Amino acid sequence: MDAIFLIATFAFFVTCCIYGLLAQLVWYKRTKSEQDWVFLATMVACAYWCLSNALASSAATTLEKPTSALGTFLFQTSYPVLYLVPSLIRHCLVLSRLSLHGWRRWAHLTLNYLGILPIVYHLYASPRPLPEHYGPAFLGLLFLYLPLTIAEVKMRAELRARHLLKPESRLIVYAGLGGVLLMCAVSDFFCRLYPDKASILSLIPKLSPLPPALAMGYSVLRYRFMDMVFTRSLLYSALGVLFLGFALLVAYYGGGWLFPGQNFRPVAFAVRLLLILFAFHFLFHVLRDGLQKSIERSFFRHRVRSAELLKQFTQMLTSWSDLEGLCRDAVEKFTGSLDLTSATILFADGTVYDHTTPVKTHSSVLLLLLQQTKDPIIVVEELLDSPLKTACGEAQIGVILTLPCREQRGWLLLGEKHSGRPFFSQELSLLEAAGGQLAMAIDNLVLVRSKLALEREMQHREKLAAIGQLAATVAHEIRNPITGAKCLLQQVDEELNSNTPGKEYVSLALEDLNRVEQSVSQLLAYARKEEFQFSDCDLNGLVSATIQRFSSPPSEKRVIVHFQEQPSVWAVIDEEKMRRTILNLLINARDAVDHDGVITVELLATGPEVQIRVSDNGQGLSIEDQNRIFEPFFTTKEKGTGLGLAIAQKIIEGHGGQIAVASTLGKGTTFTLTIPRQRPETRSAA
Amino acid sequence: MKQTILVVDDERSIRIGLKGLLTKEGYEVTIVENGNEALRELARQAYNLVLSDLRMAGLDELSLLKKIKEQHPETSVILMTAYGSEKIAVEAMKAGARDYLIKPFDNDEVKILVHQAFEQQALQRQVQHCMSDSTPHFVSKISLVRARQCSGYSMSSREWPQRT
Repeated sequence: MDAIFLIATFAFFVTCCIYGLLAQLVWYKRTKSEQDWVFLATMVACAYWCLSNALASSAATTLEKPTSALGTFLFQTSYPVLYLVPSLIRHCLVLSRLSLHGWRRWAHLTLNYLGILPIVYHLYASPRPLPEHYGPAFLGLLFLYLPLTIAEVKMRAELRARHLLKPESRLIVYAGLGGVLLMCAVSDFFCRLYPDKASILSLIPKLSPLPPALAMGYSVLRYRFMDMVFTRSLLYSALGVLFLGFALLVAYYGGGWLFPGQNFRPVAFAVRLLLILFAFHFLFHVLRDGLQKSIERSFFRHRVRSAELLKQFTQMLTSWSDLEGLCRDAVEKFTGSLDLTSATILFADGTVYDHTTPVKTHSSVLLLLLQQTKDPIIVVEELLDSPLKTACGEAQIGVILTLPCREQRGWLLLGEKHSGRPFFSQELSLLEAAGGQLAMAIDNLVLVRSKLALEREMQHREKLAAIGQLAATVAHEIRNPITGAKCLLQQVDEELNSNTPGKEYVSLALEDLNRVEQSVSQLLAYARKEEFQFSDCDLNGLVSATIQRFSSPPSEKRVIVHFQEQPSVWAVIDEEKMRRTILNLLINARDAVDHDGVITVELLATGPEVQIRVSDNGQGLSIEDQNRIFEPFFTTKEKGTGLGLAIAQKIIEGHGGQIAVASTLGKGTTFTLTIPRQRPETRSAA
Repeated sequence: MKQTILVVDDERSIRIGLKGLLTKEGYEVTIVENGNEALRELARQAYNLVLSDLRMAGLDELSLLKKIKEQHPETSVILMTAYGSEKIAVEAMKAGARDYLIKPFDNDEVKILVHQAFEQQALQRQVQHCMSDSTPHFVSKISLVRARQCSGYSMSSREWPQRT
């Protein structure tokens, strides 16, 4: 009894180990497919079958004691075949259906189902009632294994449709069945060889689920996960344990050792020797693969980590659309993943993106030294004594990585590790790869930015061209009838006496015509390509004269204009266009203020530029209005064309300057014109 | 004898308006609506002044002006344009136009320009008469006329009309 239970427990243990490993593997890969639960459940079902049949088989052999040799054989093989039933069904359903066609398929099915005959005989000959034998097995078969197998059939059909399942899987089936038959044959052989130990040796077939289980495991792993290293290791370790178990059993229960003295039998000796050699062969593989696996695992762990970091880094790089955000996020990632004291991106133009706050200012000396470097990556510790090493030491830089950006060079300056450890070569490789990606991302962003700017410029030009074309047509189509109407109305106006009621109407009509004419003229002025006539001009005089011209026809509103006269401020400008621009701003300011409004004009000379500010204390502009204020045809006035400021912007930009608006609702608005003192082309040439 | 003016414009209201305005000023005005008609009219009768639109159907922008200058060099031409651009104006002046008007114009502006054009024609006739006479007595008169021509209305001294 002890031996029986020992063997049954052994079989159960080995089988559970194998399925446990498979389950672990499935669990490890669980994130890859939603269908993996099918595999996991199949493994559990198989383990259940192994357990129940191992115990049942042991009990049957012990209790039923068959009398004839055939009966013993059939009794012994009935349970293993029973083990195989689900596997057979599964193979028939899954693999045969997918791999075999025509008569081969039917032959295969018939051959497989012949294995049920021993069960039928066992049922017929056994004195024990049916449920006692097969109750758990059939329940499991009905409720657990069949549904799962059907699910697997469907899934594998999908996999096959995607060319993931390969025809050689039937070899796995044959290997599994062959393994079972071999074990049965070996068991029978040894039973005949050692009749006194037959009751023990006949337990060998109880381990028969192992080959199909292994075959199935291999099949699952091979075609589902493709992890050959792990599969091979698993297979070899199972085979090694199996053959070692055989060898031990044969050695211990089969009578005698390798050299059993006077009763030496060459066949028995050869078989035992073969079994032990096989066991060692497979165990050697287990050891070798185990060692290899552990090395690979540690190796892969780093590679997996690096790959994971690179993946995260790439995702981060593609998620940004502005350069500053990208650079700041990148340095944050570098700092976090390598546990660094600091990380900085420095560009050749002196722009610095730093993770730590406040932003460090790198000396121009460091920038100069960096520009002389040619190495893609520099570990400061490995540098010989040099000015660069000193400068890096002062800035607490551990590694310098050159970012090969297309537009301008950049450097990733990494601090030291918090742990104080040096940078490993693998980390440096990772940094180099990440730096290359960062440079590409920066280049892409720069390209995208310039592309967007170009597109905006093109759109603006197209808009201008469309307005120009429209304006030319409009000018002709509107000015001609206006001319005729005006000519006729003026004659009528002259004819009428001042007391005639109709004279007022004619005057109103003429005013309206004049307003239409002004709008058309503004549209033309905006659409027309401005031709500038630059000359030296005293802006102080120009502003004073413009204010005088602005104030000379007294307006309905009482508006006070403050202007602090300056000494002469000379600049090269188109005097007439600048006067128009300032006048336009003054008129806008007057329209914006209420009665008794105050307009302040300031003239500031700041180095190579001059600023003219026109402020009012009117109602101010909302943020939305400020954003659109320079758009053509946008106006906040009741009677405005919305072209005045657009023309003003065009003129100021033609001077190489800028026009800006700052406004607070309820407090007033300030327009600032910033223009260079020199002519634009002279300035760019300089 | 009344001064004759030919008004060429494809806009009916302009033709009618200018005819009324200039007739009231004492000129004899004929109106046509395109360049080809103008050339036919000029072939039929000589005109002192042509007031013509710059861009009309039938002829290119300056071709009417050039043909008038070829066939009737003594006729002054004032061009009217709805495109207020210096470039076109300069080209028109180079091609021999007496002056130009930017539409829409004031009636007074038209009166002044037409008056100046006839005044200049009169001065030119005087100069030619004096030149043909060739007596020393008129040398001082010629100098006087030339001086008036130079100091009179000219492109350089005229402020460009600003329409903003």
